[in-house]
Amino acid sequence: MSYRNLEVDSEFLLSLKRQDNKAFETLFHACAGLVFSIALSLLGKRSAAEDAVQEIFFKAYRALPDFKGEKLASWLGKIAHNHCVDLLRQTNREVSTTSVPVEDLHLHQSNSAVDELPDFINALSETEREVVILKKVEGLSYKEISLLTGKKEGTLRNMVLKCLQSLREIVDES
Amino acid sequence: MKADCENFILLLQEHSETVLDDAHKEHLASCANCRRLLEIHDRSFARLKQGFTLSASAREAILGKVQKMIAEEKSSKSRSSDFSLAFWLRSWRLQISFAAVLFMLMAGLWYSGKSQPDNTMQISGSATILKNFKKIALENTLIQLETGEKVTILNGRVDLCWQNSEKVSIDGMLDFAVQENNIDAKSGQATLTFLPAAAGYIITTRLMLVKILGTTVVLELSDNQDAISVIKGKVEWSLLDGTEKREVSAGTKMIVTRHPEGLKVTEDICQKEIPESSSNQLLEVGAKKTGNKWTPLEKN
Repeated sequence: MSYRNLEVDSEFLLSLKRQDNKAFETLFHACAGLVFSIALSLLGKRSAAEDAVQEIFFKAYRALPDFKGEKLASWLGKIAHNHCVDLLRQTNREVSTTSVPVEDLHLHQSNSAVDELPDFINALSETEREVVILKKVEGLSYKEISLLTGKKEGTLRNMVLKCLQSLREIVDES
Repeated sequence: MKADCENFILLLQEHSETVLDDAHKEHLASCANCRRLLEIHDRSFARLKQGFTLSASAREAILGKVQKMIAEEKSSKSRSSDFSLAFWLRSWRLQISFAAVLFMLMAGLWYSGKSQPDNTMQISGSATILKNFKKIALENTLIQLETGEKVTILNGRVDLCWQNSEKVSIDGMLDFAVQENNIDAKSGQATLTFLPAAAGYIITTRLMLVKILGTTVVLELSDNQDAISVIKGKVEWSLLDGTEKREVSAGTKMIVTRHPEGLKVTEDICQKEIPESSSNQLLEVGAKKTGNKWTPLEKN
């Protein structure tokens, strides 16, 4: 089940706000894929992403009584995005306390490269990677991605274009 | 890069699933680079989709963990509320016990006060009265009255109190009994001045019923005639059998006379001051009762 097939009627929303277990399970199955994509694209490691999904849904469960009725997937996506950005900030803070030789720093490149992902994706920053994944894997519109990430649609288009240009370079080189 | 190649990249940028129109198909047929780009694009993102799929087993495992976290939080919340209650009960048990005893005492007092309505009625003033056929000289002493107890004011002025609060002053001679919120006047002639707190109190005579709405009235009750003069304020007057009823204002006198053919009601005017002849004079000189009639006593 995908979040796109999730039928959100008033009864389902009320059940969610009451923290009904059945409704919460339905929400989980519909949106786990999207949340996992956001987490994996930002955090870069499957195990970390799975842990994050668990924490994100727990956070969402607690916040359900305050849900104001916006689009469920957007609401959950925002929680996921903010949670993972917080995790990244914490990680970066930890990294900054260790001494790393200058030659080992890869500017403009992700600190958390995803195993088994092509280089043109790994070469992107976490944020760029999230945007490309949401666009090309999850099939979200730029408007929907803008709502999740808080970035302007023009900026998002440029990020995707940057990724496509990397692909073009690969083609040109071959 | 040719303009068509740039357009092709913009097409890929805009859509997640590539749908080619005729112009782009034509361009692809002639441009090997864009054909190769599309091939790599489709293959790469197909691989990515696989990589970003959460397996069913992983999904179930995560859901299980979330549900466990929720259950743990729920139980810890109930434990912490149990703990805090137990903690407060333990540390404040002396105070709680004291407060409970105090509360019970207060509730008991309140209940006893509530459950037994205060029906006390008292008479005081400066007058001579007959109470249970016993002559009593009131000198501002307070005497308890029982419900329905017959009282005759021989002379002077009395104050009647209900629930320890003064409600009416009576000047003159009057034969009456007090009931709850009610003066049952039998005979006599007197001025009754009701305090505002007595609004709603009732005077019943043999022929009429008067509801007090904040008033001074003069009652003149004889064998076959009852009369009430409203000096101040107003009353709700009615015949005792309820056949006639009206509101009577100050300056009006209602006279009810018993005739062989029935009761006759006459409305007259009266002074808005207490007539000398009614109570004041009687207060000064006293009166005597012969049968059902009162007659003023001569001075000395």
